Amino acid sequence: MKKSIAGMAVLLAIYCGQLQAETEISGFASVVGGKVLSGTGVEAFGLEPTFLANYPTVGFYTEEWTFKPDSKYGLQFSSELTEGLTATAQMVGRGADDYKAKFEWAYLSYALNEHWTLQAGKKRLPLYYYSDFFDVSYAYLWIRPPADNYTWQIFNYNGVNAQFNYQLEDWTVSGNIYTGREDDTTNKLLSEFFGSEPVREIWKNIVGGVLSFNRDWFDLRLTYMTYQNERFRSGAPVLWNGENSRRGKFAGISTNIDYNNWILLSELNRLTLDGSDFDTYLVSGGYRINEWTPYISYADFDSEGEVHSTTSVGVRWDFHSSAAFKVQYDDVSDDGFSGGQVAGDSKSLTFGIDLVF
Amino acid sequence: MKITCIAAMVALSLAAGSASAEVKFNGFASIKAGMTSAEDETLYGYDNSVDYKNESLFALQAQSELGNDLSVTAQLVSRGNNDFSLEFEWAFLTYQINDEWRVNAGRLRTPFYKYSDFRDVGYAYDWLRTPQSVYDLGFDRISGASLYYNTSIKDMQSSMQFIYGAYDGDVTLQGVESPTKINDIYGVTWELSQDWLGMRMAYLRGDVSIKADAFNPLFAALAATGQASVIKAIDFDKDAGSFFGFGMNYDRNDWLTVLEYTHVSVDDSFYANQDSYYISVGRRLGQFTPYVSMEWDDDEFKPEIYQAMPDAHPLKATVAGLVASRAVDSNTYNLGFRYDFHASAAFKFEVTKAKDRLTMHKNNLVSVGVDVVF
Repeated sequence: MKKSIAGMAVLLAIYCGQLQAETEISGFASVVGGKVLSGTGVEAFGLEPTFLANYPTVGFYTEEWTFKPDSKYGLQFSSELTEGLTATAQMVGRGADDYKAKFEWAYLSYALNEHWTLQAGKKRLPLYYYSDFFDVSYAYLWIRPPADNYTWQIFNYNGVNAQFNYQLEDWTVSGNIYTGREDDTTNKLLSEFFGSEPVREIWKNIVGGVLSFNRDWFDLRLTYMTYQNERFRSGAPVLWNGENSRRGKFAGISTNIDYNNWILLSELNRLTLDGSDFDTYLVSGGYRINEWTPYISYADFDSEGEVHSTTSVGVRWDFHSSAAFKVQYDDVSDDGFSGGQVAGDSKSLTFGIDLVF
Repeated sequence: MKITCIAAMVALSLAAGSASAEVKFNGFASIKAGMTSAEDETLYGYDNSVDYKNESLFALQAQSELGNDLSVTAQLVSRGNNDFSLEFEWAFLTYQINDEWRVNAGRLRTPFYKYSDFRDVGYAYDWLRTPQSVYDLGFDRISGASLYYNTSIKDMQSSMQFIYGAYDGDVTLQGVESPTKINDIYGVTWELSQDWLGMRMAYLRGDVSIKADAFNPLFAALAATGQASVIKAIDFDKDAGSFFGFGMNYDRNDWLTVLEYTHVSVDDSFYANQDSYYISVGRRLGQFTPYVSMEWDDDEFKPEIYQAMPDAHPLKATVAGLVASRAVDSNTYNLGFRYDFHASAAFKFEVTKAKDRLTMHKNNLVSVGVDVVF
């Protein structure tokens, strides 16, 4: 085929849809409302009683009713191009961003064989257990993954990764090896919540891996990542020990049990940045009674200066095969010192509906 | 859910209107990565550490036949360098008058270059990116209408496009995004092609106005010292801009050659007279298409702007510096290949060496990418 004709053919195909790739559309949505019942705020920052429910997207509740912090919708487009090639794009609009839609995921997948898949593009950074479906609240027990653990300011990256999946007798062993970078020109969490001037946050030379073991009712996941952090505050480089870059290392382990209607979830992570440790963990337990699953949860964040934890109780009601109603009470205790406070103590109530389609 | 269901749903939701439309979705994507060879080198938005975002993009195109020869097309593009925000790159109505004549109206691509229409569709050409010395005008959208006339002359296909419209957006001027209006854009393009040879010409003109606040202090000082004519010679205030382009391609016996030349000027402004051209030669070897291309950019600045000022004028050196900053003399060499590893995807690799002949600084860039249509 001649090039000019090839070009025309492509254009024509795009115009007329002749390269019949099958595009599948799926999606999810959460409508969640809530408010802070009582709280201390942080007097030193002039912060009113606040519950920071979602660190990465800066979703926070105050004493006024609001539906913005945890509400969101997403549409996922996935096109099978035959011979193992797939294009996937996920458009997400969040209440915390005034529902403005953005492609949060946009990547190509190429299945090398039944075990290995290569991917390239923009994807979720798979640090935590719930990273990949952080936005799809229907997929987990709570209203949101416990905020004290999911405090990452960078949650997507651009790069390449290789996923694998093997069956070893009763065990499914799967994993992911990835590398890439993210350059967030105005990082929301650092610019808006932890500060008031534009902060550009760069995570570069990201290299990480995930290894999971599953069988029937047991699930174990190991995660590790290392990256180089650069930060610019109002355009000026931030220096750490006189250097404009620092290395971060993240490691975590997660075990989950779902046995005889009992659910036990746990996650333990440590981020080492410049020699100081940021430790987080969560433990959650629930019991499934038909369509109802009451649960309790405790999550903790501990570093030099920043110390906080959240105790939560709630219930999930699966009133429909692809929708769930949830109500949750969160009690945050902020024990930060020397400027390490986040949003003070708070007690909050949130409820809402999560659905997938 | 399958796309047909969505189409049905859309059709249903349109039931209030008269026509029940069928919507077709298509798309294209490019994932590209690149890095320069040294710390002090930057090129096309890349620096010395690998970046996967700068030139990556995802696009979805929806087209709907409304009946009575009327259709509507919308293209949503999400670019890595714009943080993957969604934007309507195209949104237009098409009316097919008859086999030869067609009208598009709405938000269109400005037909400056040979590959303008599919500049974003990397799959449609062999290069990793279109030659940037030529494809470097800061805007390529137009709101307006376009009339197409397709016919055959002897054994050649002839395609003419007449366009009229306006641009209202930003253009990067001296490194600053500046609000720009280009009014009364009109132009014509003509493409003639046969089996293995094609030729294209384009001419467009428009009234260019750019609001560059950074110049205000300079302009105030010039006005205060009686140099209003110099301000007029620098600024963009409904100044006539013109674009001329010529392209040729030759594709025979698996040899591929493309060349394009463009000339851009804006009267009564400090915008340099820009001449750019490239030539690219490739060879198709089964699934592999190696190519080499050379680009030249020669932008002549306008010394007459400051030469008219008295020598003793305190701002003469400033104005001279500003005007001279528009000069460009560079050449760029690219060496790369396309590998068609899949029926609707291509892998590309390109090495670029760009040399600034004014400063003698060289920037070297290695890029890889995958282009897909679906």
